[in-house]
Amino acid sequence: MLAREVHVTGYGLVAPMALNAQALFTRLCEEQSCIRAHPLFVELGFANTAAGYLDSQQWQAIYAALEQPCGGQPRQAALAQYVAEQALQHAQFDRQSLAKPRSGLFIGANKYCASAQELDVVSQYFDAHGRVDLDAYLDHPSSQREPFAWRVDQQTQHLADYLGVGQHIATHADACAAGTMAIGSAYRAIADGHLDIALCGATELMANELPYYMFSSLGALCAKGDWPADTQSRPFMRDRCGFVLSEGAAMLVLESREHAERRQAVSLGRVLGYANLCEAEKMTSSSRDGSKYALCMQAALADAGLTPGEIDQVNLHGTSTAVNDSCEALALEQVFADHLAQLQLTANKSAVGHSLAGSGAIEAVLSLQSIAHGVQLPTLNYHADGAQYPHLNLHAQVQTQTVNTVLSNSFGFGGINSAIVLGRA
Amino acid sequence: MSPATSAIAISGAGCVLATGWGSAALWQAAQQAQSGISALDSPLLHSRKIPTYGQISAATHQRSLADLAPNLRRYSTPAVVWGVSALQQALNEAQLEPANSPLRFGLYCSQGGYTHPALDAYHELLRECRQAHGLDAVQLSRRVLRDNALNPFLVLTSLSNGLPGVASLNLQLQGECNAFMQGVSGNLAALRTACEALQAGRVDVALVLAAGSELDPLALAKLAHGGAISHNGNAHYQPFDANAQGAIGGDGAVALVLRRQADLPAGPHVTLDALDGHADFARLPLPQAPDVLWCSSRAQPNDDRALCASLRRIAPKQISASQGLTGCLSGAPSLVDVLLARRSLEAQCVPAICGLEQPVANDLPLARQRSTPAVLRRAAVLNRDSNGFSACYHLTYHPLSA
Repeated sequence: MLAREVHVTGYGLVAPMALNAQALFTRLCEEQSCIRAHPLFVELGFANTAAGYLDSQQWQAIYAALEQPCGGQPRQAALAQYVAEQALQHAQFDRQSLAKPRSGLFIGANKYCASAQELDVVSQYFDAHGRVDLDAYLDHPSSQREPFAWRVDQQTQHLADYLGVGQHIATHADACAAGTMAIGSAYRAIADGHLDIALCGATELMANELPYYMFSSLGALCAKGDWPADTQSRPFMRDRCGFVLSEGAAMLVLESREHAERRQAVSLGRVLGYANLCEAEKMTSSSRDGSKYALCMQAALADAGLTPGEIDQVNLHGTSTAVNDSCEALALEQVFADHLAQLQLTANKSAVGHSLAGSGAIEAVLSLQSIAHGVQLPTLNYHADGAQYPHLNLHAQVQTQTVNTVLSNSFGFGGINSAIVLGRA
Repeated sequence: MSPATSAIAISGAGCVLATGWGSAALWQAAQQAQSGISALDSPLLHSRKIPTYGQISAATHQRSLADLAPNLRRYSTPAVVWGVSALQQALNEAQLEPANSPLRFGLYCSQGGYTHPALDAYHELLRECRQAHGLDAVQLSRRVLRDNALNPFLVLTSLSNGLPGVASLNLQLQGECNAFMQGVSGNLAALRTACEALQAGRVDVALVLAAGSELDPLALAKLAHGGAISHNGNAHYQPFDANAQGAIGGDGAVALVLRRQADLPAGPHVTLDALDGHADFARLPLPQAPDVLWCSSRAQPNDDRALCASLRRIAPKQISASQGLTGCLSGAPSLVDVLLARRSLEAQCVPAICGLEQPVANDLPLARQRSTPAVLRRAAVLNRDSNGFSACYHLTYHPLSA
């Protein structure tokens, strides 16, 4: 069976300092960062307090705007519902539109952490031997609060209930590649004829202290506390030294061409191809020659039936860590060769931060907007004079150019790589 | 329902569970109705309210470690170790070596893990930073960020895709890969994606792997208050029993190797024919009159009676359950039942429900007392998760299929 065309007919997004996709796109076009000092990190005395985070005003707006209150659900479920409602409204669907057998829900997420205070409550029940008196802890009110709040699939379950989605329900947990892999899996399910419509994307709420401790202990975060918060993530620069932790969510409505045409939906773009490959190289980094990243990009292009010369723009994973950016730069050279000079590149994480699972979904939405508006988004903090790879076509300022096709990369810890090809409708 | 365009056969299986190392140990325990649930024994906690658990023994863990490359152990939680070992067992049965095979492999994983981080990662730091008024959070941040007091590999052992990460490295497996969370919905997503990859021809071999452990104070407390496990001092898991006192947790890993049936040599095969799932159990399509149904039970009599009302409508010829053997698995709740359904089809035998003494419904064929030979052609698996998600699988035995 020939693969069916898969169209994007709606999307929704929440990112730090942006409550919808247009607000984030405008902010980036105006070269404004979403990174700032995190009040919690200030309170805890971190030397480096930079993060992208959803602030209390955003949370108030999210809860106030929900079409139906989601009482008793954890905040990731509220965020997922808010973004899903945006995406469905954008696609001109109502809440019941996905309540049919050939619809699916593909949501990326990683883990939801206890806070240090929650750990502290448990630690009050250590006995003299350092073992927790579980019976006493079970009686503490905090142990009884929101028992499902930390389930990684809880937002997916909530959305499935809320939207009436039945059969195809998946929580993708592929670390930093999860958002792209959720979209790619939805694309495949529609292209292969299993589904007609899908809501896909990711939610991530990791901008708090325990994830910060973990990534910092590994040396993955920028540790330059004396650099202004909005200048810390510097993809492909010589002085790059790690990413800035962030959070957010984005979701897309995907439909088969036939389904979209039947209801006369406006297509906002297409998913043209996708690849996901584990590379069995290392847990935290790829092959230093870039070959494994290149393999994944080439597989996505092959799936799309496109040559490298037919790609206009690459939305880079671009974490601003030394190894990731180096591998990605080398991979670009292998995949695009002579076309690299004409290829537009953008790395959004320097402005938005690294929202892990959320990043691939957020960057997919930004890529679709770039196609719609003919824009190469700026890579904040990139300067030609300090660039390690000056032949890469990155810019700190917004560029206006026709964009018909975008390859968007997401590479994750655990050695999982993914790439998706998006195109004009 | 997802009709298969080409039949998908289970060509290998492996497990590490409270019943021991390997599917032979699980099947033997099932046939003898011998529970692997034992007194909860943990260096992290003690409890009278949760006195027992489906725990992996030290000997089983040591045996599992032998299948994991030494350089990967620092990245591996116990659940990942068990997962790697279960996968190796499944590959052995399927007679496959990914590193030396021209076939295209895909890896589809579902990970348990209810709470994060595991308390033991912060155990010593919390004790150190605890003052008379409570935790000194600023001191904790200093110890971690200034003194590097936290295990630098914590982020890797905490990864939601640590299982496929380590498993792929252990096998030097390059190819399509997905990680899902969690429980029943994660198992369904992994199995469904694997089947679709085989049917689409993207892979020739689909490795489906699920693992999890909840032996952590935070996790057990959340599971208890969420109603997934009992915390009333109950020591026995009694599925479908009128005197049952609730569920008991369990750890472990299960792996399956899936192939297109057409690619396999002639011989008896068990195929996985349909997969269904729904966030609302009432709307889950159920199979009519399977020869044997492996059905999860929460061991709460009223809940089991309500479940039995649904089961009456589909008229299964025999009903068995695995939770009395292993405890309620967070990582592989469906895979363990698919494994047992396959074994019962191959053995033409229905094991009794371990722990069942006084059935909640006498009019249903709940398997009791002893393992029973039977002519079995169609099996089904029915699982319900504590958060409401449910899944159903259909399997068929092909005695002489080519």
